[in-house]
Amino acid sequence: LIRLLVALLLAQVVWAGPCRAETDHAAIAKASLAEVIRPAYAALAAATFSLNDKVAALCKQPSTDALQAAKDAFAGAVDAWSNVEIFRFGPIAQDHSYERLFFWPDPKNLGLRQIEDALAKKDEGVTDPAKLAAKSVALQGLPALEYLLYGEGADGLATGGEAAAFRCSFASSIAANVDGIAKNVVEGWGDGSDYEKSFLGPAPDNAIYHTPKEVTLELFKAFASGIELVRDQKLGKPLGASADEAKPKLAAFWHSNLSFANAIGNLQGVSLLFSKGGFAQVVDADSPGVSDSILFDLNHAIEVLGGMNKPFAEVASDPELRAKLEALRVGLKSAGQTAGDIIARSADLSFGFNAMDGD
Amino acid sequence: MELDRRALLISLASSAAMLALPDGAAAAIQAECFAAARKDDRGIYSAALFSLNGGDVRTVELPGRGHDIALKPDGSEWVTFARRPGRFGVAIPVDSRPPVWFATKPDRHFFGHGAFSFDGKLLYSTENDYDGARGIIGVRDATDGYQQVGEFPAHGMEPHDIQLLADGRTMVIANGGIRTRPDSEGELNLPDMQPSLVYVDVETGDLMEEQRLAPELHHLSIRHLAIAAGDTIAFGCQYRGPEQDAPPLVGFHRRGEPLVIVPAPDETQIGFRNYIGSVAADAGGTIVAASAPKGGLVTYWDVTNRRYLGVSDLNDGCGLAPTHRSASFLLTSGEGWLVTADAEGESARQSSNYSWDNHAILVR
Repeated sequence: LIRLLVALLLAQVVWAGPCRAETDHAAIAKASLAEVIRPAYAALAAATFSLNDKVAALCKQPSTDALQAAKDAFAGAVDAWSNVEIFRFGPIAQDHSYERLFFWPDPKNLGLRQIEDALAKKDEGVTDPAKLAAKSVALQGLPALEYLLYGEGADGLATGGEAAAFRCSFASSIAANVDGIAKNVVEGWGDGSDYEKSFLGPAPDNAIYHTPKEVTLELFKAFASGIELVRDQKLGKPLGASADEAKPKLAAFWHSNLSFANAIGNLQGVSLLFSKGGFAQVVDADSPGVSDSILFDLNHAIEVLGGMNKPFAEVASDPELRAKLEALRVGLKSAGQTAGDIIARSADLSFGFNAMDGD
Repeated sequence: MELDRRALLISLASSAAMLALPDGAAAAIQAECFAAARKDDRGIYSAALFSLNGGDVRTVELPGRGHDIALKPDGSEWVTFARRPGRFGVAIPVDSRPPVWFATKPDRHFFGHGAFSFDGKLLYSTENDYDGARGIIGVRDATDGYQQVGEFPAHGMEPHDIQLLADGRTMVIANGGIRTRPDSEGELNLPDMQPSLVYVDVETGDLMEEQRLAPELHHLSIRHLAIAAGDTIAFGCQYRGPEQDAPPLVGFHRRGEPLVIVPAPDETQIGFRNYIGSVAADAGGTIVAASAPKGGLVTYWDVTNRRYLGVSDLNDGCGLAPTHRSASFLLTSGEGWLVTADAEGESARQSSNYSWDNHAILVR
């Protein structure tokens, strides 16, 4: 009898742990969709609508002002995209939409080579949005449009002429394509969509999400890998281990000098998902007050990046600025780990390097 | 109980050591060289030949995340495959000759595993024909730039790990059973997934034997395997059914015998988190290790008696390779640890600046 009692007591102790702070997976899904995912994609669609409009206007009437307006609209679209770039699930993950919109990284410069080829041959296939959608993904999205608006020969867009007209209609076709993708994603997340149903009501026989916890894991992956994206891809790789080993052309959007704006947008997306998507509450339920310190770290990183008002290549060769960015990378790692450990423990998730389903 | 286990281990270790003596004696003096894929602190992926004391012997930067390594039987080169749904593969000589890159056909991708024919002339790899919704074993000419020279069906969906049996002609394939596409999310057939362990004649592509699980276990995806002594296959599964089920995940099969899946003690079984990430046999082939990276555990199993032996804790630990010593394994983790351990405990542990990928192998 005593042994039985001891066993019962032990069992209670064991089970008391996980029951303490039950994570409300459904609430996280609901808040993330309503407060973060939908508004952020709506903002992207608004920005790409304006981009499409401004590039079309530039082609219709080339001028320095019109080119500047198109560039401003491009920067707005990059900001909006950067917020949602951390989401690699949902409608954006269908039909290569993500890669069509943002083919990056491109260490072999495939995009540039294909763009130059299309420009040299005056390939009519790239000036018609319907035909462009069937072309290489490297020709269809923001990086290609960036090169057309900012790369070699872009100044001609302000003055017109035959070559500029072709370049502009190529740019206009990309802007329309990007706008179309953004609209599709907004619709794909809309009321009554398959994604909404699966996200908010996962079920064992559903093709996308089978359990509420899978949705939380998906969002958690966006949070954790969003931080890693900035740490590694946006900063770590192009900075290199030393100034001599820097590869500034690996930075995203370096032609337009929007590399830091892009990284800032990514971290804003991460921060928003954390604070409005429900993870901050999960963290505070476990360790009161810690969510504030994580947000502080993220905001500090955004501030430091905001102070980088030189092109990436110059920053990468400046020892003082490099040191700032390396310190920022360390801070991001610790913020990500602190949040990740608590969320993984509280929500009973596994998110190691080697814990991906299907491996 | 404790004494039994120890006695058993000692006897297993000594018999394996005796069997392995002619080659083993020389090898035991040298430090092991291992190979594995990994990611560094800047997010750069690479594959490396390395030793625990000497560090990297040779590394090759990869365009994306790697997965498993296949060793040419003569030990002259090793191949790493892209993690699914990647398309690249690279053969890396152990000397300074340049690496040889290859890729899948446009409508295929690698699942990340492969094996050489015993003469070293052919390389087999598990691939996804996603438009055709079927698993494929690709065949490449290792003597001619790894050009693809053929393929045959895997006789199941989602072939993952493969090995050749001692006859060099029978291939055992772990078919995970889950249908996926690189351009879409999700697992498209969970309600009716049908994992299997199949034996295929590599010369004809014919199916020789197929082992399926009981219908109530059809959510048990068979993904990784190792060949232990006597052509016994030890395999590890990932369970895609309800989380609280926590079914046994480590099994054994030998041709002509029934397939068995063996539970670990309750606490460890739940600790697996329904996920085995890698399986490896020790130098003598009588002990296998099975890692559970989601649960942060590595377990050890007695092949002869189909019995659980013990467990090590290693957070995000997945890669497993035999060492020169019987019953002992190298354990690698996503958090940088390189651990030498057996069922009795850890004997060494060192840190590194890499996230080590799911698999590791002993090269020499």
